[in-house]
Amino acid sequence: MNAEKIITFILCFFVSMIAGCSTTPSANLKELNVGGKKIKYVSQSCSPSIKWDGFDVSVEGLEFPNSSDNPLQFKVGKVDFEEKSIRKIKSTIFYYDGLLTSTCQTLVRLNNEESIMAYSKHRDEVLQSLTTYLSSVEAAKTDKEISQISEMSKVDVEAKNSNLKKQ
Amino acid sequence: MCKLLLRLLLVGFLSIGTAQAFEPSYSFSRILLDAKAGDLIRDNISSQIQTGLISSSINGDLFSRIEVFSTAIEFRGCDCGKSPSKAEINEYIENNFKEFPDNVKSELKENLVRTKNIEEELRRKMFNPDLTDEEVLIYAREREKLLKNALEYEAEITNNFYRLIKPEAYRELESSFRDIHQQQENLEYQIASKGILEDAFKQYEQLETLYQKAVRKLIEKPLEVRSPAQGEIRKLNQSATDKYAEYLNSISLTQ
Repeated sequence: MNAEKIITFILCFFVSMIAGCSTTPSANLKELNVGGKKIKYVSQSCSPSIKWDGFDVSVEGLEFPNSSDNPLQFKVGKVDFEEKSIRKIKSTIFYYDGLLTSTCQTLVRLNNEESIMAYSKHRDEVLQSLTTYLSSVEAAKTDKEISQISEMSKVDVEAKNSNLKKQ
Repeated sequence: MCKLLLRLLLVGFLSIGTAQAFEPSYSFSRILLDAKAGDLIRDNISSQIQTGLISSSINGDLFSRIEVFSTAIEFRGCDCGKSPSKAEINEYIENNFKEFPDNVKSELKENLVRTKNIEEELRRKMFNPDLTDEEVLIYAREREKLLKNALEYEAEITNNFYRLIKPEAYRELESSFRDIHQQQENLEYQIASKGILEDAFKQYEQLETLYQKAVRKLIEKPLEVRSPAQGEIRKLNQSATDKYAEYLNSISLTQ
């Protein structure tokens, strides 16, 4: 009986340790979920930038302690897509790029630490939405899918913004 | 030889097609944001660096290049240090929307100048040092909304233009060409990995015939690509232009 209590106590201790650790911000190390894969990163700049060399889009300005290559590279400029879809992808990426920049501009304007932390979290969410969008585009097979994914992604990130307002 | 000639013709035709079509090289909202970045950061970054949230300045550079078939469309972000002037807005419209008739261009210009003025005003208000963080966020959200609506407005008029210079029939042909090309590539891959199988070879020949037919049709098609009538462009853009102007009117700057 006693042993059981001790074991329960030790278990509770570990559970609370783990829970405590996971909620404590540790040295700016953040995590992105890209197509089910967890990627740890450190922000190097206020606003990550987006590069598109034709077929690959990459998100620059982040450091990845567990990887020597940049894992945020996506093949989205497929020849098989209609020009209209390519324009849609381009326009959505423009939107994210602008959003990340303007989020950064707001971030530098905020004064108290609490709102900076909250808004910084919001910036991370925008980044997560962007990488989710890019990996969905990479996996998309048809022009119709591209259109739907692009619309949904913008609606989704806008909803995150209005949630921020309510807090 | 015939196939090579057709391919060459197609490449030539596609390049002409692209030269005629216009493709905005970057978005207007992007110019606005880039223009402000330097000014904004200078005054405010030092305190933020101390909190560890920001480790370097904004990198607003955006360089992109898309290749569609043999054509290349290039666009890069504008790295201007100040707010765009009316002349720069004119230049932007001339570079990216030059095929538009003058009345459509002047409506577009009016909306973009208003966008610039509203953005400047929102920024000026947002950077008022007496504001609380909550008030800052109100202006920040208004700017983000402006960014989204401006991008959508631009995207819509661009698509409208394409609808006029590239009729549906052209697009259908182009997509059937793409399908055949894709199937051919799959077969080429199959042949390369498994060796020449009789079935695959027969299929390939059939596809080649289809491909050549599609190419011929595409080559004949540009003659049918009509130059858009001025009134038609205006009519097509009217709802997007009105909707955007109405949105600009709805922005309240008196908070």
